[in-house]
Amino acid sequence: MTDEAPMLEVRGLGKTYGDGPQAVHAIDEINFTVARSEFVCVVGPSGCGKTTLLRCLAGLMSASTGQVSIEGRRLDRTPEEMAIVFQDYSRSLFPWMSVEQNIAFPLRRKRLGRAKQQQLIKDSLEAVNLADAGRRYPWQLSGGMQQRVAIARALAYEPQVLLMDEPFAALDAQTRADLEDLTLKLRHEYGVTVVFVTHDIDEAVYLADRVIALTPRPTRVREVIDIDLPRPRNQLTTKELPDFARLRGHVYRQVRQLDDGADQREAATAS
Amino acid sequence: MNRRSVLLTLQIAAPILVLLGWALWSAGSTNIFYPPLTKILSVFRDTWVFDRVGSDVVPSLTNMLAGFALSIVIGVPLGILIGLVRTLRTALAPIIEFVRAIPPPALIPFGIVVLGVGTGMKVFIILMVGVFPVLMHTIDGVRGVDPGLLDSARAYRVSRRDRMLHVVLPAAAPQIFAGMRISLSLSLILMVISEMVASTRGIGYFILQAQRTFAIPEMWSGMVLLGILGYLFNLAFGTIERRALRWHHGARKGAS
Ligand SMILES: Nc1ncnc2c1ncn2[C@@H]1O[C@H](COP(=O)(O)OP(=O)(O)OP(=O)(O)O)[C@@H](O)[C@H]1O
Ligand SMILES: [Mg+2]
Repeated sequence: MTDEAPMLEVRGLGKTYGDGPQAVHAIDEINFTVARSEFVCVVGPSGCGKTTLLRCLAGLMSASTGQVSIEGRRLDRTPEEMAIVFQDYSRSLFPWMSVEQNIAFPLRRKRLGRAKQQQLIKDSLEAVNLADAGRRYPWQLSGGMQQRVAIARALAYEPQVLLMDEPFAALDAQTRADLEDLTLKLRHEYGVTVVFVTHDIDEAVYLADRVIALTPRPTRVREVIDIDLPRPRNQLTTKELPDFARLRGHVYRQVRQLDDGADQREAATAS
Repeated sequence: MNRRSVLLTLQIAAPILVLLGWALWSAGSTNIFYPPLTKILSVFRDTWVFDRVGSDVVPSLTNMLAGFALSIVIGVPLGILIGLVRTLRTALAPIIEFVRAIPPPALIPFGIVVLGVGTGMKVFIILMVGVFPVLMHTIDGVRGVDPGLLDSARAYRVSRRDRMLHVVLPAAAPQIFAGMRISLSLSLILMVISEMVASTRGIGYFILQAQRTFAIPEMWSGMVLLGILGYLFNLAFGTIERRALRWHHGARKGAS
């Protein structure tokens, strides 16, 4: 039956922080599924509960209501086939470990044997173009390089599902574009399922097979938008397509809660 | 000369100047309480190189290092446990604060009653004082571990043991080292104090005995020895700390 079950399934997921008058109702109710090898981007206004959703997906936090399943199995802690790339690379890589040790650390419990482990480390570093950085320490690297190490660590873990929480938000535009393309390439090569949270609508449309647009807090799914742009995608030509502009505008309206046609009214009030 | 070498020269020159000043000021002194520095140094050589090393220095330092080592062996694991378990912290906080508030010399009579006047009592006194800086700093360090790092470890299903040893412990290490440094100086102080009461050997005993028998140059030589020992301990500790926390200093330099 696992062939039938979607890779990820979110059913009636809700999350409230705390209780009483201080309670923060972050997620109202969220439902969606992600197919194997699909690339799904989650976009939503700032503070709507994207990180909360991702942490529930990762099993790092328990939901208040509803549940998350991976291949039909209900999830309570981070499942073995899942890897996560966090937004803040400086707080997710261990500064006392070299790049190689950072990548090797999650592999310890897999007991792969030395040769296999070395191979994984080498391959993953090559995949992110950091073949020479293995002996260095995270704090000796630039932000973009550190995030590439975090991606290499996720790759070496050989996940089937990759969760990414605004992984490139802190990086400059050039590095960001490079890492977006790197992520697409890795998805293509490894066939991994990706759930990618971002507040950048261009990024979401550029990367995704489907975009899930969320409402403000307490958040719900506002709309799921199929992104039928051709692959492989290209930072220049894809973004020049009329369809890209159309989809981008559509997602923008969904996130800003504008009905189609309301943008003229917004433009009028803005001027 | 660049700035660095100026500073280095200053660092070496200043103590030499002070010593020279002391030597000049005390030269030919007949004041029994302030013997000439040359006299102190010659007594120092006769006493500590290496006449009384086996009889006094070794026992003193053994006690001190034993007390210091026990402070670490007990303080660090206990601190990690208390730092991680909130109920334990709530329950133990008042007890720790109370015991810590007792002035250390007041523990000596109790130590003598329970452990006698031997090595056990002295190590006990050093431990009772030295353990707290390590304990408190470890608790603080553990509580201050970046939740982002713990999330990473948890997301990659790192085992509890590896999380303790390879995430919590290193992340708290800068704080733990700060606690150990305080504990190290306290251990030296308590070593001397413990030897000044009901003791028959050790550096502290020697200084007190010299004073009582008006062997004032001997008394001075003991004080100089303690100064040198304290300095060397700090130097050694600093070296170890810098190596162990290389990543910490590197990361901090990168951040600023
Ligand atoms: N631990 C917590 N306790 C209480 N409230 C929280 C906690 N974490 C998040 N919140 C609240 O829940 C809401 C959603 O937060 P979340 O971080 O998931 O939003 P986000 O969409 O990721 O925001 P951003 O766009 O800034 O990344 C916010 O109002 C936030 O203040
Ligand atoms: Mg967020």
